[in-house]
Amino acid sequence: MRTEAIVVIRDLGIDFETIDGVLRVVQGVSLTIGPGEVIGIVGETGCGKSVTAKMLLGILPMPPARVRSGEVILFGRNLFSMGYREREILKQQIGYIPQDPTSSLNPVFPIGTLMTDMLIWRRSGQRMREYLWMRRDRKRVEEAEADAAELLRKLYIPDPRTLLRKYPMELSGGMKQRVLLAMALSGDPRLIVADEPTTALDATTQKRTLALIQEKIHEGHLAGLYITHNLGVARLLCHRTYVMYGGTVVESGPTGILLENPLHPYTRGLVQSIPKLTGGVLRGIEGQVPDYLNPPAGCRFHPRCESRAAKCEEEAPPMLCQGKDRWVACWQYD
Amino acid sequence: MYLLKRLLYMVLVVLGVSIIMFIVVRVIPGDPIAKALGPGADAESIQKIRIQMGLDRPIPIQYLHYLKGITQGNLGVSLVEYRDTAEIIREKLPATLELIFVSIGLGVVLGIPLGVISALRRNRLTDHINRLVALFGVSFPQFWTGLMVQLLFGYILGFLPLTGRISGPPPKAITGFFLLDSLLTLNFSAFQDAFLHILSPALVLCLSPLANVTRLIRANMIDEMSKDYTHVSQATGMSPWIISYKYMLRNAFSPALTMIGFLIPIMMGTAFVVEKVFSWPGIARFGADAIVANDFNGAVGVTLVISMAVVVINFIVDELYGVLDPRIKLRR
Amino acid sequence: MNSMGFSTRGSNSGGRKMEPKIQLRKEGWVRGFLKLSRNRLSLWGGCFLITATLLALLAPWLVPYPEDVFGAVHFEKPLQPPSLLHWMGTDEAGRDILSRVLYGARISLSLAVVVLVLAMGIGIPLGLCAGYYGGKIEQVIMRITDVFNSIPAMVLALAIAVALTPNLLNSMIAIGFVWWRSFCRLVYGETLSIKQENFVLNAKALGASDFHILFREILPNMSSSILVKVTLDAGFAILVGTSISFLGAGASPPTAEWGIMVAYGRHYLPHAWWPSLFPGLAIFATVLSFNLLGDGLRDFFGVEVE
Repeated sequence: MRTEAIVVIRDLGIDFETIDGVLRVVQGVSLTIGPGEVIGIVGETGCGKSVTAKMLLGILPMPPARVRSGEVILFGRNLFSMGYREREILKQQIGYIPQDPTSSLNPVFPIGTLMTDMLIWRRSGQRMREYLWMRRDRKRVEEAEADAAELLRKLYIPDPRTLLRKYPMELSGGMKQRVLLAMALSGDPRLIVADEPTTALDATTQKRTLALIQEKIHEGHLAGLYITHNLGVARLLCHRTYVMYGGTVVESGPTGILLENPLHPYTRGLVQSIPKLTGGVLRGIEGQVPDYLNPPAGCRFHPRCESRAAKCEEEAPPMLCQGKDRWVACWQYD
Repeated sequence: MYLLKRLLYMVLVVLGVSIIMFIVVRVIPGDPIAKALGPGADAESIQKIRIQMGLDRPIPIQYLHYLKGITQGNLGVSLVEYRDTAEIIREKLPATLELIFVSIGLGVVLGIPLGVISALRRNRLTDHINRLVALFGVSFPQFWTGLMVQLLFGYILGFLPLTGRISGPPPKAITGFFLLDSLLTLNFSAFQDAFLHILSPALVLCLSPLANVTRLIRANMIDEMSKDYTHVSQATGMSPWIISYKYMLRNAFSPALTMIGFLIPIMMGTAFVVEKVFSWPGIARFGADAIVANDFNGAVGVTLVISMAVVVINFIVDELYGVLDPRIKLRR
Repeated sequence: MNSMGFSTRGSNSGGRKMEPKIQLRKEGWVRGFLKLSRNRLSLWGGCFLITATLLALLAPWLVPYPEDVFGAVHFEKPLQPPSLLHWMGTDEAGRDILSRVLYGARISLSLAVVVLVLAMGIGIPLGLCAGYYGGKIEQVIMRITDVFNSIPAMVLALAIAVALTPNLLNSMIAIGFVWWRSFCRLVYGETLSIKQENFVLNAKALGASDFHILFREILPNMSSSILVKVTLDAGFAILVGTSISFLGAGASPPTAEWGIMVAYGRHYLPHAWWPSLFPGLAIFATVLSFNLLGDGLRDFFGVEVE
């Protein structure tokens, strides 16, 4: 097995250009994913985790988004110096599991069409002429359909052949999510990026789907990037977790240790705001998410931090090492 | 059951149209015969024709008489050409239909790529030019555009004929559509002839559907770009061409169909002037002449036929919507 | 901010102030205006219309050859090409085309006004009633509207204009009569959605009269849609009006109306292109301006109007 890192992000900065001005949605984010590692990114809505993930997936709309700084190394290759074709081919090695299964499947096509299109496109080496020729070829299409059915069966979908004929709206949420999972796994990926994949499902289906995802990741020794705002899910699935706030990474470390002993005030606040079965008063975090148009100077969390100091307003703290794989961005640990 | 309801509804609408037209054309003008025959006619002949046409009976009776006539396929005698109106319409209808279909076809065929490209290159130069062109197209007074097209392509550049539907002998009549018939009978010289003749008026007439299709497709495509399933397709590395022209367009196009359904009545109206300018032998030109000449049979007949066509086309469009968007079909 | 008591030396990183500066997002309507002004074309359209209206209103004083507008003929200088004396040349009766085009603006713009007032006057109340009362009234009104919708605007307007004796005023009335149907449909649709809103239910609970609810609660909420529609329709009404005159069922000579000017100029193509070109150009410019403005308004209000 290769030991080079799957993903290395160094000091990434992404801006969004809008009518009101330039939003600094991601600032100074660094992240690594090793082979076979499942990483979690945790944070509240709007903290920049989805943007980072979309950047990796290549689906961030580039105007209005703009990469201001940093570098991203994907499978050992520099993302920003890649040509268009190379980028597209690389996408095959990343599987995407989106958040809302209902809106993630084109409603006017049967599942089979969506899957066979994808499979045939890959087989044609992503060349238009070959693709068009193959699409007309009965044998090829049947092959692709058989493969699609096989993919679905691996995900414990009963009677995949019938499912291929159906339209997305005829399926349940859990079933749709499995289809999406199948599509994500279809290209033999080395990395799975899951963007809060179970938030749109009910509790039982959630559990089943998560178990399925875990199984597949484990089976294929895949690396994973899990975006979630649910600490419990992170603990269950992720080896290491990054906590993001306001577009920056504030803490990272092995998930169990991170959650048991949070170092950053924000992480502490998060952990404390999880309702426990043993009861007790909930403590939230005072204040509001920063304005990306004019983010606070220095540490982005400082307006809401209980233990802020003068230095926090002036300078943004770098990631400081607190042990093996343990990093915090807080001046307290300087 | 549903189909039956639709059919009944369509019939009622056409009936309503006939009532309105009847009122407008026979009731309001007072003495239509006198107007139609002009100032030179003497009282006696006017009276004679009145009795002959049954206009001395009370209005409701006249209407029922007319309805009875319709069921027998008789639309009265036109005062413009002194022939049976139904026959005139049967003769001239294909010409107008052919023109309208070709114009819509042109508008859609040109409009879809324009709309897609505009959406993909949003807010850049290409987009602005496309939108401007589309806007221009709808703002031209069609009779004037027709004249300018005649001037430009007919006189100055000289490669398109000025008027009429065909110069040489028409192809053998199978459908009544010259373009189709000439192809079916392998009469290629007639095809070229008819094609050149239809280009100018179709060019003028297609501007309206072109503008509307472009704008609608552009707006819908932009919506599609922010849809989740588009992102998923992009993340799996699908070709942007396939995503645009197969996935997004299919969703974007359905509303365009309904819009085309709306456009057809407007185009029929525009055809009135376009056919006049290009001396196109269709029912629109006949209708215009009939209305202006107070030929009530001609006027009502033409309007009835046009309304029927409009209603039928809208029905077909609705059904087609079901084909393109399976959600509608499954919901029914 | 200095709750820890640390001393604050002037160590501003990057020149930022100590207190976080709160930047107001620009006000809603300011943003809208910025958007509109980005759409420079719409502004051009609006400017042109204002200019055209001014010209139309002031025409009697501005026009170089006022007598040409009302029937003076100068057969000694027919069909003269554009020159310094006559910027747009003269027509077949030797009349100055520029003057007549300017006066045509008065006619067409007033046509737009008459048509829209009529159409709104009939269509809006009907649409409101249909949407609000529902039931039989809705069925009846909407069925009638459907019937009217099956007849192309041009056809019905032409027929009515001829039925009422073809002249300019009657063509305006005729078009107005035909135009109510699209207003009715628009208002009907909007009423259906607005009447569910809370403020309407509140007003009803408070015992407001139907009239009040319809005209003071519901109607103002669709004012942006109606405004956009009015702007766009003004242009199309002018197109239909001039087309009807072109066909001979509207204005009659010697009225300086754009449609008949093109119609009469048609006979002298291709040698004398100016009698037909300029009036047509005027129609085009006017309609285009209405369309540009309407489009810009549509973007500005974020409204979906067909």
